[in-house]
Amino acid sequence: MTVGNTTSEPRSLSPQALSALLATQIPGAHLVMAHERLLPIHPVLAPLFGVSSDDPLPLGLVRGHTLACTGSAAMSSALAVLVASTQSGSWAGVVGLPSVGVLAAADLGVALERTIFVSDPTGARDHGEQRPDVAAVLSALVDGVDVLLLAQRLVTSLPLSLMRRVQTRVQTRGGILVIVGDPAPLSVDIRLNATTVEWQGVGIGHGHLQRRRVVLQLDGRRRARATEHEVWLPDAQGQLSAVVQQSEKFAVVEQAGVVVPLRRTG
Amino acid sequence: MSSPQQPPRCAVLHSPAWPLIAAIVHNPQIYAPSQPLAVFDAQRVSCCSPAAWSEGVRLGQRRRQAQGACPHVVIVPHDPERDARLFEPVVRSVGTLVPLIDVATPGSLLLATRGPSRYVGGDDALAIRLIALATAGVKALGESLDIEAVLSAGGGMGVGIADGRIAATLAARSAAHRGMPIVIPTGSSATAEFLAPYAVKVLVSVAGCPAQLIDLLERLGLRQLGDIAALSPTHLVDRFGSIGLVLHRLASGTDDTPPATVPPPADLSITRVFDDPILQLDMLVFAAKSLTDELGTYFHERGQICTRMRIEADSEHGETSHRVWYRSQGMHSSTMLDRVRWQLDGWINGADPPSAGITMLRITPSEIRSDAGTQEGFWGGRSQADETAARAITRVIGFLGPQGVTVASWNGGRDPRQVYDMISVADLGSTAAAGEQLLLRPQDDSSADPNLWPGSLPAPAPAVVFHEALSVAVIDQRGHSVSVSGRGLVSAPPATLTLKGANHEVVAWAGPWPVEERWWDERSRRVARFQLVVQVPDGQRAYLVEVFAGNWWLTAEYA
Repeated sequence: MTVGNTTSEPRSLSPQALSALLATQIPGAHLVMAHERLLPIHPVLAPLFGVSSDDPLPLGLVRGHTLACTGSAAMSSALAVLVASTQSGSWAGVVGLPSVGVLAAADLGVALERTIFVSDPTGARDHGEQRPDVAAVLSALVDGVDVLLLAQRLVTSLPLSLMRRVQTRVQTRGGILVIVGDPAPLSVDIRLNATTVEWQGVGIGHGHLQRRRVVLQLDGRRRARATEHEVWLPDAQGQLSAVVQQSEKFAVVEQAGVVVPLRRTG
Repeated sequence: MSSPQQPPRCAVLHSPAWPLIAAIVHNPQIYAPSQPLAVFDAQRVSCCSPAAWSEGVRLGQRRRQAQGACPHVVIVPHDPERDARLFEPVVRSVGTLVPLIDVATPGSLLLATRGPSRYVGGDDALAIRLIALATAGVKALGESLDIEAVLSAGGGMGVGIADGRIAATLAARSAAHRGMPIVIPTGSSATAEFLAPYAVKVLVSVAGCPAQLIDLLERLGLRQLGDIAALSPTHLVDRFGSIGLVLHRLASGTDDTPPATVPPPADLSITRVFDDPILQLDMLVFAAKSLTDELGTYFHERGQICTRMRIEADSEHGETSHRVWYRSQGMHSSTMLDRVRWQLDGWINGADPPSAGITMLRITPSEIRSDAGTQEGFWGGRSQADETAARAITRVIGFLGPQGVTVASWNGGRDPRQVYDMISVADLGSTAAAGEQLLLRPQDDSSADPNLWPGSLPAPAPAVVFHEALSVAVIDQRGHSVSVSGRGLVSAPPATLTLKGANHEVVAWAGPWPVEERWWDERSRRVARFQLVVQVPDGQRAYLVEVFAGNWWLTAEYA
């Protein structure tokens, strides 16, 4: 490496220029940058996953990554991750989560016609038959679907080495692994922690749950700092929307409009 | 545009309900004279016997409708491999007269008549010989059977001879109904006259035209093939583009091969020689997979698809099996592999198995066209992702059983547990029968109208729904369990929720929302529902609880 009369600094190269440079250096090389191997993400979540053009972080889910959704809104945030990818033609598999609220998923916008629900391969069949090969089931699913949602119980009950193999397979195949809950011994690329700030719409004996303010915190192995973002998850229509900063006064007026106190009469 | 040349004269032997004949031969107990029989594929009738037809069973009916029309109908399992394996002796028997035969599907074969007709003395004689040979082929399957009765139970076999594949196939179908061969005189005017009264719908099954196109033709008032043939090709091309010309050729019987068919390069045949002869079907199919994958990749890279290929296998003792396979929609690697499996299964497990292991396997594509046929519309089209997913689903069903893989289907209801039904994928579509992909669309999704259920929970819906409700305790300020009176009044505001032994302070609540469902039968259920927001160390959590017969249950969490 010569020092001094280098005309271009590598750091200032745009991805396009870098790609072109590499193509001249290595004839026939087809360069795929990490940010090109992406699955789309819900526009409200995009600010978390890196936004502006000068931000080196990608604008979607990087294929091959493992994502863990934790916190009190873990299930909703995991479903929100599925929305954009299933709508754009990817398939999703939900494994070992019989309690997932399908109506909530549909309201969020998950394309149910491309979502399959697979029973827990480690459990179930205890009446005499042999247990199915979990590794085979998981690898078949990794090969078949782009986004795989796994229950925490499933992840922690499997040997760590098996889960690492699944992760490797997801990386080769270019899918996304989403774990609902704390993956404990397994290390993941991205952690999405969703904390409920408050539920709105319900009072003391009146109203009904309308929307929830959630702080999403994204942290990851290759991220310099954690990013935070406030969203409505779900909002009044059951969807994911951004929190628009309003003045306090407006918020109070809105609150007053929502709450209709009931009194016992007669 | 070159003038349409005379299409080759073809003979088609067609058995409309071959799966039934195969099933009877396979398992003679299911057969009794005038017993209605039907085969179901993906829960719908795919073929039925004449006896069932006369009782009102129709193709495409659901099982329940068919059993309603004809309660004593015997349901025959759908098994394409059985059908293909048992058709092999028929092909062999016909093969003693005609060397080169195209097997389109099990139950239907096609041959060029020029040589054989001259050999046996005319088309009529050839038709009679073909019927006799095919009947002998079926007879070879089971000597004890009353072959005439079995054939009539399965709708008979028909032979049609005409110019071109389309006319011959249609003639063979009519012949099967009529019970005698049909020979259409040669010449384009006779062919066009024969084709004219057929509904355009036949082009879907005979020529693989997309159903949307046929639907459009019908809406334009073109209901019969004669209507299309009467139009000028120029007008058809104006309206439909290049497919208009194909339609005209199909309808007037002048051409049925896709115009872009290209002869394959000479060296395309692909051969695998086994040093150790193999006699196990699975190992052979596994070895063949690399061949079909290689061919599939070769064609895929060139944007082509193979529509006709020849599969040859040699045994160590010099016995051979060779067969030509044709599929109008084209064959991908998995479809090719199915053909290899069918042919080898029929040979190895059939009546005349090879006496030694297989030493050589060769696949020779003989007809290739550009791959334009798999594109399907803008909306609801199949993508590569759909196909890989369908394959994965089939594999996972193999591991976990049909109930292991489910999809959500709108059901409706007031309880969040009922709104979506989980139905097995296997009940939705055919599980990859004969290389066809399975379709994963719950059928009645358009009726998903939440307004149909007054009294259901207001949006948003809970993200976690416990299908087995957890027992909880809801306690008021003074430590008594909260109760709901028969008139729907709460004894005291809930103050604490005890969940899995831990107490949580209730910060907000709403309810009770009484739900009284099915009061008219024994499934009646009278519950009152509450939404509770409780304080936990890291924020708030919202639950849906219900009180049923004095006990509190946690049914869902707004997680």
